[in-house]
Parts: sequence; C-alpha cells; structure tokens
Amino acid sequence: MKLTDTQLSAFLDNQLPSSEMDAIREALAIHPELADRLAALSQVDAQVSAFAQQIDGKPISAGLQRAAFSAPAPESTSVFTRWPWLSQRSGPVALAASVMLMFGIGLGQWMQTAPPAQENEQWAAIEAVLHSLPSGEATEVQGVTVQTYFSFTGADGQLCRAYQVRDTRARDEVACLADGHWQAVASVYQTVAGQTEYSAASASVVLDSVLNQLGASAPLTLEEERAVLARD
Amino acid sequence: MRKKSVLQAEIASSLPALRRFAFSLTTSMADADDLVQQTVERLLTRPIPEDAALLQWAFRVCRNLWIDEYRAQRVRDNALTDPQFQDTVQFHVEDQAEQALELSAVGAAMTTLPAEQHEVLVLVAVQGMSYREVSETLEIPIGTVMSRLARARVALADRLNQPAEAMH
Repeated sequence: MKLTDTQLSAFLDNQLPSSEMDAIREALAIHPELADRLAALSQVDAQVSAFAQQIDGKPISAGLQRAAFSAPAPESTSVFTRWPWLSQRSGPVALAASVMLMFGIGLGQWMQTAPPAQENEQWAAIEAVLHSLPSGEATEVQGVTVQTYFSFTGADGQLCRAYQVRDTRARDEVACLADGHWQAVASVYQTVAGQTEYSAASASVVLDSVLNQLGASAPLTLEEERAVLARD
Repeated sequence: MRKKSVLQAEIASSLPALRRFAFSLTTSMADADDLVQQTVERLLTRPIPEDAALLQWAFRVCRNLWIDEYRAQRVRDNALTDPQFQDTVQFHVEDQAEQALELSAVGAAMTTLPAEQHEVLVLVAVQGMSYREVSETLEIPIGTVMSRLARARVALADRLNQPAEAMH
C-alpha cells in the first residue's frame, strides 16, 4: 500500500475516513518504521506549539495596550460575549444537560470538589488577582497567567468572576466570593498545545450551563465591578 | 452592529490567542504585538459581519495583515540573508539557554515555510483548529488544508527531527 504524506498527516488528526484510518493502523502493525515517521511529524506540532507559547504572559506592548484596552464609550456596558450565555440573557436559555452528563459530573459535585489549584500557594495568588484585577486584563502570578473575563452576581447576591488560568494548558474557571475568600465553583480545561482534554467549544458550553445554574446576573460594568471589589 | 464596548471586551478575551497566532506567524515578539495592534485597530474601525465569530474574524484580519506586510518584509529579508541564520527569536534567557536554542531553531525553521503552509500549520498546531475551521477561516477547501498541512509538517520534520521522506 502506498501512503502519501497527506494521508499520514491527516491520520495524526483523525481526519481520514474510517477505512483509511484502519488501513494505516494495519500498515503500522506491519511497518514499525511508520510509527517513527508519524512521531516525527507529530513532534512538529508540539514544537510549533511550544514556540508559540513563549509569548504567553509576556508584557503586552504599550501600543497594543492602548489599542485593546482604551476606555469604552461611557453609556456602554462591559459585556464579555465569549460565552453564548451572555447574549442569551434576555431570552430562554437551554441548559447544556447533555454536555454535563457527558462529563459525568454535575455542578453540585463541582462545588464540593476543590480544583487542584486551591490546594497550594497558587490559589492564594489567584485569589489576590481576583480581588483586584479589573476584567479584561491579564497578569502573571506563581507561574501562571490569569486573564480576567467578567464579573457577575449569583442568585444569592454573591460576587462571582469568570477568568482563565493558563500555564502549559488553559482552564476557564468561575469563582465566587464567600466570607472574604474566592472559591472556584467550576473549572473546565481547554485545548492548549495540542494536548486536548476538552475542546474549547465544550468548555464554553459547560460554563454557560454553570452560569445558568448559578442564576448569574448580567455582567457588571467595569465601574460596577470596581465598586464591588473595593467594597468586598 | 456590535457595541464598541462589547467588541472591546471580546477582543480583550481573544488577545492571548491572537498574540500566540501572531507570534507564530512573525516569530518575533515585537512584530507579533505590532501585528496584533494593527489587527485590533482594524477590528475597532472597520465593519465586522454580524454573523462572524469574533475570534475567527480576528484571525482572518490578522492573517491578511501578515500576508500583506510581513511576508513582503520577509521576502526582502530573504534576499539579503538566509533566514535560517537570522536572529528571529529575541527572548533567550541564560538559564533556559538550551530550550531557547531549540525553540529558536523551531522559529527559524518556521520562517522557511511558504506562507500558505505556515498559516495552516499554526492554526492546527497552535490554535487547535479542526480542518473544517481552518477551511472556513482561510476560505480554502479542506483538501487544500490537508495537503498544505502535510507539506508543512514534513518540511519541519525534515529540518528539526528526523528525515521524513515519503514512504512508497
């Protein structure tokens, strides 16, 4: 059987018809050198990804800061529409029940299970960021980059924030403030560096569901957020 | 039309991915931030289709700017010196010298790829896009995505890892 570069490359991404995938698996069983070659091709992705990650957490140039974080128009509301939940606030929102089942966990379990980050100093550093960093900004603490997305209040009035924590991989997270301490209530890993745990799209859907279950308010404006953070 | 503040918020949450994308294309941190800055300015000042996903649209804008300006710059650079030996990576740290050297080689190798292969490889390897997403972002057929990606991987594997000659 003649295997082309295109077939081998697409095999790595599981993008071939199942018959071709099977044929390459069979060829792999017969020709061990094929595995070496696939490894070499696959390594390229890891190398390119590692190269790209070098810029994460590096200070943003002054020009880019001005362009990206200039003050919004005064009458506007700061809304982070990364998640569809935000644009659906005025209408009925479907819970992503199937996705929750797929992960085999519910919000209750999430809320009882502290993420690993909470068990070490890193979480204390992240808490400090959540107490002070305005939404839309990023900072580096304890070897991770924390990117704040937006703040909101839960059904019981507690302040919550959505943000991303990133080192070699990234997780989108929601934390709420209770008795002066931030507690992560949902944490979903995203795709980074080709090491897929969950797809970014799935992460978004799961967090939408979490926000709905929390009875989240509309996102706070930056001004409202500043006032609430100063108070708490 | 998106409110400006909403758009700014969306852009802010897209910045990490955009910077990674731009850095992967330019292989220079300074050029990457310049490219992202131009991208952001364009996003804020030019109409964005209502049905466009912001990140995908931003990638398209960023990619077009890179094609227009940086590739032209690279052609001029290449006329003067082999890019393999250019100092394209400017962030070496002494205690990470070995890793930096290796990544420097990766960056240098990436600059030798034709632009159309380079961008496809970055979208798949760095951004984790599916072939369909790349096809939509670059507006090229999926078959073209597959072949360009394969050529890029083989070229870099040849240069960086081990000979990856076609098996027959």
